Amino acid sequence: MTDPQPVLAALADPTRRAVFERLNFGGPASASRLASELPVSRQAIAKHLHHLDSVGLVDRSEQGREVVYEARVDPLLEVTDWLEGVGKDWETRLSKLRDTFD
Amino acid sequence: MEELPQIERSIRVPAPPDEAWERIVDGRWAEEWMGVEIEPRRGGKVSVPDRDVIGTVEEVVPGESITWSWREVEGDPSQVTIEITRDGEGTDVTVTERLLEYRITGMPPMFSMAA
Repeated sequence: MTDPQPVLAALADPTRRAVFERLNFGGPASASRLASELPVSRQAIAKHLHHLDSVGLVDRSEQGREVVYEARVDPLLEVTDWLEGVGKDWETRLSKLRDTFD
Repeated sequence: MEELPQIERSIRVPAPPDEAWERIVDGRWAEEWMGVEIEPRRGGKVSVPDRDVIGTVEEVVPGESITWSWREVEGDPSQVTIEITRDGEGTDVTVTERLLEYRITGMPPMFSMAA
């Protein structure tokens, strides 16, 4: 089971989450573009993008002289898998609970 | 709209609510089926044998529900609620577990502020 911790930690920061969601809902953008749209400095944006990149939540590609970032949702699917694991654990426990009444 | 990742699972047990409740809050029973040790009072400790889990009971409504939050050391905190309701001759036991520090928002607040 994948540990969702790094992904969750990355998105727990409200600014970083805003950057991710801007990319996810608004489409790919460069750091400068993000800085012009969000109330965050370009330097801070760069830091957040670096963090998002390190946990796989963005893809970076060079377009001409610009680096453009795109949201990746795969790590979030891993979170879904993790939740499914939690669900299975409880199913197992609950059937054991029922068995205690046999 | 905010979506907080959570799971919900239920089972019906062939016993009245007071018996079902006892198996949730009585330490020996709880460990047998849940593998979890609970001190069933507000502020009580929740632990899992052989695992580095830190947990605290947040609320107990006797005969109805118990809520605790826990996390593995280094892990993300989640909150568990076990709720029981009478169902004819038996009892429905429902568990909800949700992650506490994780949200995907439909409309990010900072983005909408800037728009």
